[in-house]
Amino acid sequence: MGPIPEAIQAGLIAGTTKLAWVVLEGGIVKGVGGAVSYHALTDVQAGEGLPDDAPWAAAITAEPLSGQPVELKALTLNADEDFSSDIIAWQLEGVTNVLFFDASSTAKLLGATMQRANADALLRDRLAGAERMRRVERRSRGEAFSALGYELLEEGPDGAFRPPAEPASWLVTLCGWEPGEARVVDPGDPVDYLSAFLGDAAAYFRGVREGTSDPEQRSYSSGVWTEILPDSRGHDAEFRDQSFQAHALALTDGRGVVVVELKSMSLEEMQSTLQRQRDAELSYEGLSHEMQVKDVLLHCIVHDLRGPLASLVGAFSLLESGRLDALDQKETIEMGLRQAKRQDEMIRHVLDVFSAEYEALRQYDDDPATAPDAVTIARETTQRQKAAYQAAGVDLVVTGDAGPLPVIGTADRLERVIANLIGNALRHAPKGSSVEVDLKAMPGGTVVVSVLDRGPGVPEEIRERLFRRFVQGGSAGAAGLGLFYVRMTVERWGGTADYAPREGGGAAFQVKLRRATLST
Amino acid sequence: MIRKKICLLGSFAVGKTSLVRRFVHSIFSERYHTTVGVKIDKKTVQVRIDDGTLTEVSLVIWDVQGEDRFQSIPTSYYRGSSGLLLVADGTRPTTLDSAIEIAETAAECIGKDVPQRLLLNKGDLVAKWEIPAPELIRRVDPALAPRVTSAKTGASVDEAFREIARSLLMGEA
Repeated sequence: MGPIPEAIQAGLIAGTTKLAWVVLEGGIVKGVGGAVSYHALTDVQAGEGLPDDAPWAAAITAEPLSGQPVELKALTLNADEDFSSDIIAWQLEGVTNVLFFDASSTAKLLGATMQRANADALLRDRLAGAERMRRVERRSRGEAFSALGYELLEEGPDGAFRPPAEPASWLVTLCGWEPGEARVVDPGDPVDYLSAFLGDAAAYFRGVREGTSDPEQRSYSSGVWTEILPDSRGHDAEFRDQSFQAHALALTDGRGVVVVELKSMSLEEMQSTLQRQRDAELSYEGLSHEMQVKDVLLHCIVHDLRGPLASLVGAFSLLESGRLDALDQKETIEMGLRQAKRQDEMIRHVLDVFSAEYEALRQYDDDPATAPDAVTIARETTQRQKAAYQAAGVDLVVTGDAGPLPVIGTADRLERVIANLIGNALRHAPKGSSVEVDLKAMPGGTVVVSVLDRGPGVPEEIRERLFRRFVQGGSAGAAGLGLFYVRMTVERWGGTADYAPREGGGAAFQVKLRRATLST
Repeated sequence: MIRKKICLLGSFAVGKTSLVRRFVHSIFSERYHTTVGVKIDKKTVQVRIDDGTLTEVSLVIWDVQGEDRFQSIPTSYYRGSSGLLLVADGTRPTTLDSAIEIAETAAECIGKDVPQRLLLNKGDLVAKWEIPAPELIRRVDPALAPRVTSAKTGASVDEAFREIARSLLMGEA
């Protein structure tokens, strides 16, 4: 054996044991020695060629060895022993030197390392397989949802929401994702509806995980919303309404998922139902308003027709009594005819002015120079009612500010408002008592007209609906439209009509009117 | 670019959606189409603020469903609003009270003072208004700067949106 190169010597020094060697020249074994049995070299004999079945022989003899040594690692040469050999061969000046090292510990280490590496690879493979499965599952689940018009957004550990698979174009449009942009929605932007809802959803998921929310509530829904988006069907520069609804679902494994729904038919049905309800409501409002106006007109007409009718009834009663002589009979018949003609004219007049009356209800005067003076009108109205009050033995007085108190309204309607209140008081005031019409200018630009009596007051059960139609305070002869007329009229002028029991007993009706001032 | 959220609030059928369509798309339809939930539209406008600066702002307009017994408004709709446009129908005076009530709820939910403006819509039907416009305007808090608009003719619509955009850029309440 020739001199061992330094590099090889270094390998020998590094703890190798059970060393063996073979020296060849011209394919013939020149020498063999060392731990021959461990390395299964017992068949290698000096002066002979290498045995054909030696597994290392071919590698040593197949090609002429150059300056580079040949290394063979961890060969199991002795099947009976748990023993591995490393082989290094090199050629120097026509002589081939072969060294056999004990590689059992190295092989064991290598084996263990390989085993670990294989196990890791296997685990990685399995994990990758599982992830692939998961991706497939998520994709197929996403596709299934997508086919139904739903898209999923999953809450990630960073708090952002992402679709598990490539989402439908409508979700891309809704989220405003550009091509190539990450499919991520950050929650909590209150300007953007979906982002705002995802903020709420994240809070809901947190509540479920921490056990602070209702355990029975496994989902949380946004309302329906509509966005005017570019038409996803590819019509450039065209926009159309698209409606959505989102549902946050807290899964049992703690994950949070948001299902975004593209609303179509169901929304149209919901909208159509709501539309029908609201159209009906609008029609009802319109009709009800029209009926209110007609009620008031009817009240006015009945009021105005009652006079001539009373005369006509009186005339017929006199004729029926048979106590009239021929001259009186003729006069009574003429008087009855005059009243009948008057009533006929009045009805024609009512028909003529019907539409004008309707319009007049909306008119009022707010010019302080020409606006009606509440004090003057109250005094004139009480004056006209004096006779009726005297007949009933009730006193009627006007108190309060001396005026003038110009108010928003019209003189004739204000007179009817006060007359209705005074007439109402007379029906309830006991004989010998006094009814007051009190006028006061209040701070804030209002004028309060109060009509106070000492009657029994309004029973509590009808107070709430006192100013509605056909509500009577219990006395005969009242149609129940007087107070309704009062409320409707003053409300149209921006005022109010109220009732309160009078201190010391009785009723206190109060009408608040807006004062007509220069600033208006 | 600055983004600002504006909520349009008011009773049903007062013309909120028509106002948005007029402002954003310059179109109007006579047909009433009730809004379910909230409808979101956007428009970028240039607003000149008091110091003369021309500022571009993207208005994200939330046209919120009209509230009644069939539909109530989730308060979450109001969060993050920079301004409120209250809409009433001049031909239905009760819608004025509804708009103000809804706005009170909204302001409470937002938790801070934001600019609020009142639009008395359907100005083209003023002949049918039960209470004349000056009287309705007198009834309203002047801070709401009420103005008569018409989604049909477009009268004062653009001005109303631009004015509230200007107010919210100026940080007015």
